[in-house]
Amino acid sequence: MTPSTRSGPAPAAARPDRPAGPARAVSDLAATASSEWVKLRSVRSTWWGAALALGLSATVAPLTAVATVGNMQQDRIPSADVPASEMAVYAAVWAVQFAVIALALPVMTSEYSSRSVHPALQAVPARVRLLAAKTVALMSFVFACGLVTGTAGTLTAHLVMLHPLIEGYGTLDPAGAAADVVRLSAYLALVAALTLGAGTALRSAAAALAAVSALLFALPAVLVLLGGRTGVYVAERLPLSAGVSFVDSAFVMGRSEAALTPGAGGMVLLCWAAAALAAGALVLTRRDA
Amino acid sequence: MITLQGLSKRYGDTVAVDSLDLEVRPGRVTGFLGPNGAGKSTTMRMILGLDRPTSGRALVDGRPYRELDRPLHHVGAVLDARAVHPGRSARSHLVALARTHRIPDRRVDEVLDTVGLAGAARRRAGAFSLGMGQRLGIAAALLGDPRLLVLDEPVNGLDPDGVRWVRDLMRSMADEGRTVFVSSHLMSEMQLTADHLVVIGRGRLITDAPLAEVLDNSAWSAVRVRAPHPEDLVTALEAEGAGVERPGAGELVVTGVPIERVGELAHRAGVALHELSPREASLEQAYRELTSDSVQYAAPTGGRR
Ligand SMILES: Nc1ncnc2c1ncn2[C@@H]1O[C@H](COP(=O)(O)OP(=O)(O)OP(=O)(O)O)[C@@H](O)[C@H]1O
Ligand SMILES: [Mg+2]
Repeated sequence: MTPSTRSGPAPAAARPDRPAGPARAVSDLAATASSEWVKLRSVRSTWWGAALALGLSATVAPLTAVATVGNMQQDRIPSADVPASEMAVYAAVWAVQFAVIALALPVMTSEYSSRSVHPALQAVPARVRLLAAKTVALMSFVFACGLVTGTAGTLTAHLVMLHPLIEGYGTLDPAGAAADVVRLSAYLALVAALTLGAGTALRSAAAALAAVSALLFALPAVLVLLGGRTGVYVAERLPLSAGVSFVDSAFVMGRSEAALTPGAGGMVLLCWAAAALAAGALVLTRRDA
Repeated sequence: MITLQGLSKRYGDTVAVDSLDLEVRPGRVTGFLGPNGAGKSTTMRMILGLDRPTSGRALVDGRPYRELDRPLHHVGAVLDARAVHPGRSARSHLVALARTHRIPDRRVDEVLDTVGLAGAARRRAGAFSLGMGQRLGIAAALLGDPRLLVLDEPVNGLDPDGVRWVRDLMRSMADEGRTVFVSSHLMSEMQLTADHLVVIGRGRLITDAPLAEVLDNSAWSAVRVRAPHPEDLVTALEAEGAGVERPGAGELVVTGVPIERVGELAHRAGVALHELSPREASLEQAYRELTSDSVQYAAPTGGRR
């Protein structure tokens, strides 16, 4: 074997480095987010999750409307207006959010289980950027899903409440409905971010699912069971209650004395999502891939 | 060019890579050899910034991988053929990688064509055979037209055509002045492809030398002589300090002197020769000699009865 002395085309010239700075960072983030969107749309779990979200919203919202009006007719709860969009909010918190968790969970954990995290990090060695891009792509998609499923839930709830048997309670105020749908979409997007953060920090879908379920559902239930003012105080500041305060509908959980204001609830939920992502970023940058 | 400076990696008590100093130069194929568990894959992961060294540095074109601007234009790498989401199509996998560097989709179709996967581009990668997965990995490595290729056992699972294709690819990349760093356990294949060899054992550097030198230094490299009356030649050779074995009557195996010198000595001693031929070591033999002390996971010899 002779060392190569043959002449050939010159090696590909590496492109000159672009100057670092905010412009480059934004451009790189945009490119990476576009890559993450390709990843998101090219696996079935995303579309199954989205279809499930739509199906759940379009069934749970009208069923809730029927049940709520039925309870009012039988005087089990005080009669009041039943805004169709709040039925969609109810569906988002108690049903659609599970589809969103299922959709968000594999965004990072599947990279580890398939080891595609290696090529991903070879292309994007700036790991925080990778996670930021995933967050942007996932939250945008889930927000859009929220708008579609929230609208579908609102319309189906409105339609059933036109039925002669339960007519007279339902209301549909376009501005209020739009605000509700936007709020529930933001709620779902933040839950997706929280799930992504947990998946990044824990790397395994099973562990992340356990952690997210515990934080969202088990922990508040336990705290409220234990009772006491501290328990309630803390429970109101966990992601679920904070989110329910944020979406601002009495139908989801009933009004609580200790509940945060919508603005504060939104901030607290945002902080939970940011904390989960920060934990994910920390693990992602510190640990070997 | 890849530069390793005192590169070390520990996992708990295991020292996977032990202060490796190395330069992998452009314009040639550098084979990276070593027994199972020697630390080859770990070294490559550190080069690619996937694992953080416990100490020391791994530099690509003078910089840590994580600091490269648009790294896919610097380095193309295949560590693991199956590192693809099983539910994603081959094309989507590549498009997602390409988007990070604003590489146009046209280039994706080009590399799919290059590796012979154009027909399977829209199939789920989970249904790919090992060899197809390897081809997809190579396609990803070629996306950015990189100056440096890092391949961990790239021919593993490839059919003979594929093996040949990878060999030609590595040769042509090196001939174009690019850097090719490839690990393999297939010595015959390495002997055909590599110009330069780096051998490690238990994380430590054993050899960093041109292939030809490694083969020449093998104890197996020798000169075979047949002569009806070799006694005077044996005396002359031993006076030169050569090793002489006599496997049969009228037969010599000479080590430690070049074949030309054996011919001259025979001429001077007036010994008639019936044969004077080089016995070339295979890389397999040379490799076994080099690593015999550092094999950690060996099957018991003698085989099962
Ligand atoms: N993530 C890890 N955690 C713990 N130990 C590891 C890890 N990765 C590698 N090792 C250990 O490091 C050593 C080197 O492994 P490595 O995979 O680099 O060897 P290799 O030369 O690639 O072997 P092979 O030829 O079998 O591919 C082994 O002892 C292995 O057990
Ligand atoms: Mg290996």
